[in-house]
Amino acid sequence: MADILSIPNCGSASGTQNIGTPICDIIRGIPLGFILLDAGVGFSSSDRASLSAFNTALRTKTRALRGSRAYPFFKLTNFEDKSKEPTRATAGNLTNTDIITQDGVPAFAFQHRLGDVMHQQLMKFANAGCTILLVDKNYVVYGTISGTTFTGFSLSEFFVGLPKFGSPSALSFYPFEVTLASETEYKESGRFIQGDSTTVTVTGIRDVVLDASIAVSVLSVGLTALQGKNLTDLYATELAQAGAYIVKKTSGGASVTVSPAFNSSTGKMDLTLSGAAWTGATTGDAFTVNLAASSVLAGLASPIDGYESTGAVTFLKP
Amino acid sequence: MSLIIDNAGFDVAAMAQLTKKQFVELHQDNPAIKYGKSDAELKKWLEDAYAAIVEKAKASGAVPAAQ
Repeated sequence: MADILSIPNCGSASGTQNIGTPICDIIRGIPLGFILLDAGVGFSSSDRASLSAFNTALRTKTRALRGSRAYPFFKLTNFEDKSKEPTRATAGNLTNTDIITQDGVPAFAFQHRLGDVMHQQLMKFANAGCTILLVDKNYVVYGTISGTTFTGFSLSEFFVGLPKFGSPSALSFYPFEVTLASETEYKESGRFIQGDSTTVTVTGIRDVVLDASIAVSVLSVGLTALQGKNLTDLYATELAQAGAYIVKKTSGGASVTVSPAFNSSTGKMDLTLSGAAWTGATTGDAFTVNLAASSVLAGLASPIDGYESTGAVTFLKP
Repeated sequence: MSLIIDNAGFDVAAMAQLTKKQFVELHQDNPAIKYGKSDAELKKWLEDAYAAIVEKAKASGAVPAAQ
């Protein structure tokens, strides 16, 4: 019977190394952007069955519920590799040989020039616990394998720096940087998917802030998209779909029937409320109004794609 | 299923359960629907909208309220 006790692997039959050059390979290009993934989010083998399947899975994940979402960003204006140099140590006082004891930690510095509001959006990812996929200008998506799932590199830091004013000799810019948590994920377990131009057309979700006021049975709802845009300027007809709204009695969660109509004089949606949950309620009963989930809005007969409410608004029955 | 008429949307299944009178009374105070219409125009608009809702409800198999 074979025995591996005290047998070093010195290129014996148990090794896996070979030196034949691959018939085809990729060369890393200039970074184009990245995709942050909520913790635990990845691409299964079925998501990777074809490029079309991958692009579809990616698009679906950008509209998924919070906690299962992908956040794409392809507006980089600057990139620097800030990886630490490997740590070396001298083998001993009888030689001047330096040996690498610790590989460098991968770290990358980026800039964008989208503006202050976008920079504050990025700050929210500092404590979001996301992983990161890197995308280069050849549309190659770089990540790591975790079990059988292709996912992003773990981060030990997502740091958003101070925005910089411009000067006569330099433009303003917005810096941020990432430090990866695991050298192994990046090196031995690093994997890639060769995407295409469709891969980088996916977009993130814009926040929409609701305001609401009630008069008898008509709820006037304002919808302001990030930052300051009245959503009815873009979607007056689409927002007239009842399925775009969730109006519920706070106690018990019973749904209220909604007939939304665009009010061109106020720029808001006037929702006529009806149904037993509304008509049977008492003065002072609390209700909430919210937009439907991003995936639901995107799936309406007349879609509203890429928007999500920042939260429900409470109102009381008059 | 929504039916949208002049940027006013109606839940076909729910509204088809109302009578015409109930539908008109329910929506006649909505400022967005009233905007730019006289009382007579508003009533006609709502009655025409109701007729369209009932048509769509029948086409989709939902059972409209008895008139």
